[in-house]
Amino acid sequence: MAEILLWQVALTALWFVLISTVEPLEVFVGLGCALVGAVAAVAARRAVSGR
Amino acid sequence: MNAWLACAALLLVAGLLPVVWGTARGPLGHRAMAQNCGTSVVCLVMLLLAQGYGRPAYTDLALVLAVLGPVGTLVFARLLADELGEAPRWARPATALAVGATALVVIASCVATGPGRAAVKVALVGVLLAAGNVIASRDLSAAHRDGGHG
Repeated sequence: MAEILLWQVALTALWFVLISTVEPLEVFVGLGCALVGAVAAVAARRAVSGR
Repeated sequence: MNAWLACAALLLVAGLLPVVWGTARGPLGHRAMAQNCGTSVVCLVMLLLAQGYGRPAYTDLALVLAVLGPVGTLVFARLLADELGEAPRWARPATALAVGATALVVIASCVATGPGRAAVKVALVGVLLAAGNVIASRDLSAAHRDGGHG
């Protein structure tokens, strides 16, 4: 769970760097996309390390 | 034409011509390495054009290229591993030159952009491009060495 949260924070930060204008809707969309990416990243690491 | 555009034009001629020359002739391994350098050249030209024309949107093209270019080279290294042959002697100097040019252009762009998210984005493109180039280049050389098991 902590790993997913860490990924989400990092990916949200990346989102804020890449978007042109920061507004509330962008924050929500970014958090959502970052969550999906975080779950995928953790799943990928588990698949690679075989756990 | 401002200094950014002049640099972009110079890089396009001095960088892309050797890349086209390298990809058009010679052994397969040399061609793969040359096209890997092409990613850096075009990406840096995009960054320079973004500054020269004052269009930050061009940075997005550089970002996409910095991500997909090295990935493409890794696909080449994997699929052509059996046929790559010997690594070119200029592989390391070319990679070092590409990384040096990346650092130069990115630092100049960041200074011109000023502190803020846009500068972080340009720096991110630079880090992705330099790291991707080094990784892809090393993987190509490893594929050469291992003779198909890289």
